[in-house]
Amino acid sequence: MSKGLSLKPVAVLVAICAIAGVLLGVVHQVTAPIAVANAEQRARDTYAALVPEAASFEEVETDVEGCTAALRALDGNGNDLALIVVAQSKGYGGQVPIAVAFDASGTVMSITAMPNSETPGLGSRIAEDEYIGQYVGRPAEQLAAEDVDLISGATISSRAALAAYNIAVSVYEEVQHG
Amino acid sequence: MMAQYASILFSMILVNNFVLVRFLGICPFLGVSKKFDSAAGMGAAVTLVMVLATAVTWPIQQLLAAWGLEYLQTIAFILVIATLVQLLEMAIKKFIPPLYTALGVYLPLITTNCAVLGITITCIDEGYTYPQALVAGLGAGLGFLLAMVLFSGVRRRLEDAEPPACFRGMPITLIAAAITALSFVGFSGVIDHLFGA
Amino acid sequence: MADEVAARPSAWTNFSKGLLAENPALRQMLGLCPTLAVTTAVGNGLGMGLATTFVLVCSGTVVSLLRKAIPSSVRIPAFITIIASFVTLVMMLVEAYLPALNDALGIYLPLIVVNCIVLGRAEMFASKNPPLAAAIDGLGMGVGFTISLVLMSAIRELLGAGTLLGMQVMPSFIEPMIIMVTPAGGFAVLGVLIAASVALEQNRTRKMGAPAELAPDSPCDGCALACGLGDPADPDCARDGAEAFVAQVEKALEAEEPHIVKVEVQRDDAAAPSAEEADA
Repeated sequence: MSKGLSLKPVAVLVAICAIAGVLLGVVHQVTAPIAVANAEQRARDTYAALVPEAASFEEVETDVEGCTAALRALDGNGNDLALIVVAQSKGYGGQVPIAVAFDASGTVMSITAMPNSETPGLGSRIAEDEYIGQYVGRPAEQLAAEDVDLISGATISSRAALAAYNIAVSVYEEVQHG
Repeated sequence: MMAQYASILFSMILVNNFVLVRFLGICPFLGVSKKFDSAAGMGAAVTLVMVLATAVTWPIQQLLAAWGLEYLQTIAFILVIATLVQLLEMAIKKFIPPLYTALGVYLPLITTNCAVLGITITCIDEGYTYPQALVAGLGAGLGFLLAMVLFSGVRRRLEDAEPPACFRGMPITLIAAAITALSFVGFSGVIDHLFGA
Repeated sequence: MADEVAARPSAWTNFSKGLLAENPALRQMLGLCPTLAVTTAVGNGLGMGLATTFVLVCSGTVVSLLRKAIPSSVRIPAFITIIASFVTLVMMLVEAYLPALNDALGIYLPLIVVNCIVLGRAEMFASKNPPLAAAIDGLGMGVGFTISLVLMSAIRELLGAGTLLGMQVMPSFIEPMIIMVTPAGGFAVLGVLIAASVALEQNRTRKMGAPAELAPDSPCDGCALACGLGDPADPDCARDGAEAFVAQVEKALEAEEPHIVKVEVQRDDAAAPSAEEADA
């Protein structure tokens, strides 16, 4: 398939690319804000589910690797209710994000596995209470694989969730102790 | 540092083998793996294209990101790959004729090979640096080559088999591929332990 | 295939051929990457099928509308650009309105652009037919593809996780066969499904009195423009360098003993061009 020296084929190709680029730019303008708004709404819903009494959330700066967000959950009077950390670690099909809420005494108040691309029916079972519920009530300290029950057949996903949890714990420690 | 590159390389070849674990490049895998020569040739050609494609698309992604045009990634990448393969074929034909005889005929088939587009997108998604992306491209290609060559051996055996009529051809090949894929499951988790990642 | 184009088939024939007889995944063996990769759950298979159908219909229509304007030498890059644009469009829409599907399909959504079905139909049908026919053909192929995806994912999800569309269907005392949702299970289920569709087709032709045909090993193996012709020597074969490829592949694949190629030698006196033939 030689393009030869004639201009017309190249011109046609460039024209198609240009039109496609412009059209996509227009659609992007329309859909990008919606996508962003959706993502923000999903995040807010997750936080509200973790700490139902929270009236507002305040972002906390942290640069721990693997942590995608950290916020303080505040009640109506501005008092600290919990520290919410969203952390992720590489699993089987991509990142495995976990959202953990630590209460004032450093105990895990609630925890949830956020949407991931692990194998449905296998790695995706980390979201089930049987696995993720293990972390609730534990003090904020690093855990090893022997301290939790991994899902048999989905050890990679389970370990990723564990690693994400440990990252969240280190964020908590960093925030608490400055 | 070296351990990190080795980890990426081996994970691409074994744990995340593009064909048997990630299902990319199935069309040529099932189509061209019948004989060792064509399997090796196709695998080598794909490796070459993958490394070059990663080398070229990674800087382009940086440009797209700088201009806020990430949504043009798919179009840009596939056009770059198509052009790259075209130029590569012309260059090899002109400068290294023996190489062209060996693998030139497979090059046009690689343009729409999902494995090539797959590795370029994967390098971006995984957030690899430039050297890491090149190593990943090499690993993905070598993994593809490994799968092709292994499978050509399996298919050689299949030729002597006599499955039921409706299974002859593609279906029994797929069953054989299933068993080959099963053998690769044994690698998951090995790399992380080996390199302590 | 060429006959169909000439005879201007009815819209129903055009649409329904993609459902069984020329089902892209099960009969033409195209688009196997997504078929194997995303069919671990019915929701994913359905989503991928619908996204691909959307791209097939839209790109087929546009390619058909522009078929007279695109010079032949750049038709493949032009088709690819058009297809890639619609894939990007689908990606943007899914990211905005169906984020869960976006997470589940991951990298396979942009890979629709290299799905052999889409480029194959653009090359073989859309570029040679009016827009409405191209759209219907795209729809038929897309629906056929979606059906095969849903079928595969139903089997894999049911046996591998005991659920369908996320809802528990299998009684809890039956332990799910996890292998079904692994790559090995994907290959195996696809192999069985293709065998089943071949058997169905053989039954059908046997009932009609024609001898049962075994699935031939196609010399078109590896060509992404698979058009169903099954013969690169056919003048309609769109692949560049097809003849050279056929010659090389034939030499490499089929020869058990030394293969001497037929050579014709033209002598200066045009009286008798002599030909040396050997065993083919």
